[in-house]
Amino acid sequence: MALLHFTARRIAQMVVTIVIIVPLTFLLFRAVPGDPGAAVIGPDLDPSVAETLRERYGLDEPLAVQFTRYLGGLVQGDLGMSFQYKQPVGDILLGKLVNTAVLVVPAITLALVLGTALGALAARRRGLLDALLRNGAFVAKASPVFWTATLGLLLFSYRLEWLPSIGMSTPGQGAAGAGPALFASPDFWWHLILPLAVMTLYLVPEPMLTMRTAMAEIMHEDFIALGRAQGMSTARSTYLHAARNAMLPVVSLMPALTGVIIGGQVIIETIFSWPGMGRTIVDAVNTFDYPMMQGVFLLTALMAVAVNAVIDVLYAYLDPRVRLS
Amino acid sequence: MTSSSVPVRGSVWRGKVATGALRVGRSLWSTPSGRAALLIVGTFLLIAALAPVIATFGPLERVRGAHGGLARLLPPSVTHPFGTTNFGRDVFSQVVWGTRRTLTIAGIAALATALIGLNIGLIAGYLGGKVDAVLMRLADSAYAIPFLPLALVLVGIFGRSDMVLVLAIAALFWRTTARVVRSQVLSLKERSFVKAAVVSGASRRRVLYVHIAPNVASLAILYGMLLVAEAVLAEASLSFLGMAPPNTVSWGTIMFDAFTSQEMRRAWWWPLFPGLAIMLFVFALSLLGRAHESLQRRRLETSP
Amino acid sequence: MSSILDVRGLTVEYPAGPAAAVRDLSFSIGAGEVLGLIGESGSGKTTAAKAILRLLPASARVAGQITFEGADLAAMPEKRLRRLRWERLALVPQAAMNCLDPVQQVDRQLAEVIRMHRHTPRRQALALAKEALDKIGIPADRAAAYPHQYSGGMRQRALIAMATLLRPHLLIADEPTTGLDVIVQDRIMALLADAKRELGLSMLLVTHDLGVAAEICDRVVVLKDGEGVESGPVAEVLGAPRHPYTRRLLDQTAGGRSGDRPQEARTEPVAVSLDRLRVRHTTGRGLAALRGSRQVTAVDDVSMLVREGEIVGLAGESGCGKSSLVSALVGLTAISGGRVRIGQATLDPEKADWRPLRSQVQLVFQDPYESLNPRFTVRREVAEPLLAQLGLPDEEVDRRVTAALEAAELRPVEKYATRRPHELSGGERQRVAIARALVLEPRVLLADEPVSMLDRSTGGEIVRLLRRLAEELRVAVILVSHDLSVLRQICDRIGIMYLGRLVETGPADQVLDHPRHPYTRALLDAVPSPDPSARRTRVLLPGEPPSALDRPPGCAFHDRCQLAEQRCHHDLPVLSSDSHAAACWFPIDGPLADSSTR
Repeated sequence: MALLHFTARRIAQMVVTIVIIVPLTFLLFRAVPGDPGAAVIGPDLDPSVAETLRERYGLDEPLAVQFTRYLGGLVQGDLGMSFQYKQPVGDILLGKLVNTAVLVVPAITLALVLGTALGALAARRRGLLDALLRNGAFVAKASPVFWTATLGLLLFSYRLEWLPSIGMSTPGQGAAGAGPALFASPDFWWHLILPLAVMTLYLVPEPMLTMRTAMAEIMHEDFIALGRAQGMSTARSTYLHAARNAMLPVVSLMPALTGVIIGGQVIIETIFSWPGMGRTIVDAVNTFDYPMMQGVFLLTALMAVAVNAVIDVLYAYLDPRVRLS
Repeated sequence: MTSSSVPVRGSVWRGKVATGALRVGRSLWSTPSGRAALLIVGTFLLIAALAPVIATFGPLERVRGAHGGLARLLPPSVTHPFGTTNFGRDVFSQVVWGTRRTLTIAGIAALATALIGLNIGLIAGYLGGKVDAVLMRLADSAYAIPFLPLALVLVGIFGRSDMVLVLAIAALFWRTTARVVRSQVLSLKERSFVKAAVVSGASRRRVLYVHIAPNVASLAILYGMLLVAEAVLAEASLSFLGMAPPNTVSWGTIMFDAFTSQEMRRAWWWPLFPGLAIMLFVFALSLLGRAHESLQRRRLETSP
Repeated sequence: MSSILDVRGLTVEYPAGPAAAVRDLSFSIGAGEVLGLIGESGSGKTTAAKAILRLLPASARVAGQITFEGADLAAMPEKRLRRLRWERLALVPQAAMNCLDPVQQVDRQLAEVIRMHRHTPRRQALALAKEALDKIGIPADRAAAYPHQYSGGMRQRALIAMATLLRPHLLIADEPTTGLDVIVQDRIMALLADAKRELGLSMLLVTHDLGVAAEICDRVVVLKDGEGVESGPVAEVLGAPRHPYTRRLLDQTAGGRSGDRPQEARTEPVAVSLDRLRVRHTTGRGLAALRGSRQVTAVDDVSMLVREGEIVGLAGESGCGKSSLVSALVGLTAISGGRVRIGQATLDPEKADWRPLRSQVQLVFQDPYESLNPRFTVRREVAEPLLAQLGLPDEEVDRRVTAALEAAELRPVEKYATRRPHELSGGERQRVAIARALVLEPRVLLADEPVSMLDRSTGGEIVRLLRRLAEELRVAVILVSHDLSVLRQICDRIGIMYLGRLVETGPADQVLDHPRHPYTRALLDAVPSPDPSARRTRVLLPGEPPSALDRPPGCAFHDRCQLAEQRCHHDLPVLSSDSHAAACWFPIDGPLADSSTR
């Protein structure tokens, strides 16, 4: 019951956040310097054509009317037409989203599993191993992802020639395009290794350091000492009780990580020519494809909002102190 | 009773930021890792300040060899410690000039962001109620908006400029400082010395800026430091994606040039050194953060 | 008597610490015997207990011989020790918030203990756990709650149930009553005594409270700076102490009356009067708090007056509303109903501008370690109210600060003026807080548990200082304390609060020696006496301590009162205007001693 109440409250908060973000985005793209319609109609048009288009898109109407129309479109999944592709933005992004997901979902999973395991290990062992792991994590955190990606390319693709350097598949070989056929081919998995490794390395320090700190703190809590006095084995008290409590800060870290994940994804997709959402927004900026920019931006922001809400509810489910207060 | 010279009146803020930073710096110097980090950061600051003296060539200067040809893609040597680019530019000099530019932008952005975050956190935490609820919803929204896409959109709309870079950083990164300061204020607000100030008749502004704010100052300084690190990474990422103003040289733009030139395969030194500079600088700042934290912990443990 | 635990020459050292935490400590506990380890905080008593259980951090160096039922505990391999733990040697820790795993239900935690040692099916272990909790008064529907949903007393009881689950031979109880209200403490002591009787176990009780030790221990060891300074049967050690340290501990506990108080009724002008004061809080968080959906009445219908130079004490358990009352009187919490009159000024819910009254009412806080701004010098701290309120010239500020420090007996003033809080002791800090409160020359001084964080002797000095200030400066003092012996020392009159209402008021001697309300009586009865020959009847109140969230109808005390009758369930008794009055339908008559035969 309490959890249901919490979930309802969190959804209400999510709606408030969306209500802030959507109009801001709308206004932002109306602020394009020069012709106020440029963001919708496209650059470098013949003035008379631009005039007709402006009327057709209703750009001479008041902002409020435009916003209502814009909202109506959003609700139906209409994100406008891409200047570059001459296709609906929504259709293009759907394919790109899948490509992004096949890289980012395994990376997050790997980073969480590795991070919590290494963090717990560092907290348990202390000493040299801890110092190595901890400083390694700080070095990894300080390294910009485009640098580690570049070094990875230099070593594994150029020098050793073990791994392919760009794209999701070798041109003219195996299955082209997206879809199940592509993901089934070994060639695709071959291409996935390097970007996935770089992304995982980029994401692993945060959960690891959080887990380590939380474990170290919880090992000092009275209930751990009491467990030992009750004859509990060290392994049981560490991995059952301490780790279970230490996972909570790791879960609550996730919302703050979404921005980091998306940023890393943009850069990695650019470097490895991975045809996902991140690369698409960089291309859109370079080609002044405003509807595309807006589409990617809104979609990522809304997804981040939704994911954060889900994580908060998950956290409440895991921690009775939040759920039952 | 002789009236001794300790003044009871006057602004508590007078010179407090400077002495506060000095005190934080001095305590950091007392730990080995803090000292190492301060030395690294200090060296970078020195390089930024003395860039014209240290750099052997101009940032965009095309160096010609002995026979008059461009010094293209030369590996590291005594004349070119970090090698040269495909346009014959000296990477070492570029990194030195880039230090100046990166640190200036990151410094300005971090200062602006820390001030915004500090004040929002103070006000939200102290006033509470509806003001707090509204400000924290804003912070939630700032958390939800991913930085890089927003920055790219801003560049797409307003063009490539330093203002846009600073704006993008300040528009979002205030959220962490604001949250941390807010939670600190919430706990300070319950401390009885703050209640005592209220009971003794201090106005709300006096309570906030005379009694509470000085006690979160060291936290704000710490987060300001970490913000510099975040700003460096943010600036470098954007520059690497080609979003820096044209004809500027920063750590990120050197990497961008190296990547787009398609010459990385031959010139490993070109991307290596600017990236190393970023890593070293950001790592040193995080070391400072850690040293600060462990000092705080030690202070807590030794106090009665 | 065969000994169950034998400790010889126990010494604990920390490489970082300056001196040994425990030095050459020897004692033994016989079967069925209760041994008390007593001493002030920092005397090494908890360290000694942990050393026996081998629970000290790895950095501690432990020497000496610890023999438990014939086996050497210190040399025992970890694996054997693990089997011994809890089966035969169990611990009751001080019930801090984090003694139980916060993310696991309490009954599961008890069941886990059973299953670690016995091959009991999960369901059966859970049933056993519930049964054990039920026995200590936690009903089945509360057994599956999480630790944060329990009160401090419930957590402590659950920890006792946990410790006695496997019927151990020796129970080590480490400050099991610290931080609990007297009535709750009394119940814990009863539980420990029951466990000892029913299971026939031996006990090592670590405590700083001589009253607790006198009541349940057979023998005691007094610790000072890690060394045992005196030991023997409790009647001898506490009845006729030989070591000066033990004597000092006993003197501090006794808490005699200080100074003569006028016996006739005071006639001075009224400094502050409360008329049917009510304070409400809004609970709940987030959107619920904005709507103000859930209102809790923390203070209800409280009327009283304090004259100049008079000290009125307020007592009651935590959550009774005494702190809310104080906080409303200084304007930190809004008044929801009634009126406060201070001098000529009147405040009510409609007209609640505290600004002009700030100089009239001042407050001394409970915790001296956080009531001073860590960045201010003493002079700046004390001057702050003047700087914030009055635009006085520098010389005048300086003069008044010096006078206030003098009044708080911080002499020589020049020596203290430039110090910062971390350079002061707890007692000195509390004096600075008093000086800060006095610098505005208020009519009314409130003190909220001003000595509960200080050790006994320092607390006594602070309390005597308050008495002197009331007499010399003619300031009216309202002193809030959970400790009736503190109030007895200096108060002219005392008010007892229960669930936000005053249930008894009267002259201090009358209320404390001839209580009329059954609740006051219960409070007084629950205090253990450090005199080992004193035998008191334990009157345990049934049920959990009340919560303002869920106030019973009629007399709020009726569900825990032994004298309650039908009428108490729906009619709310009110205080009469007599000088000694109790809000009770069936007040107790006659002195305390006569009715103890009940």
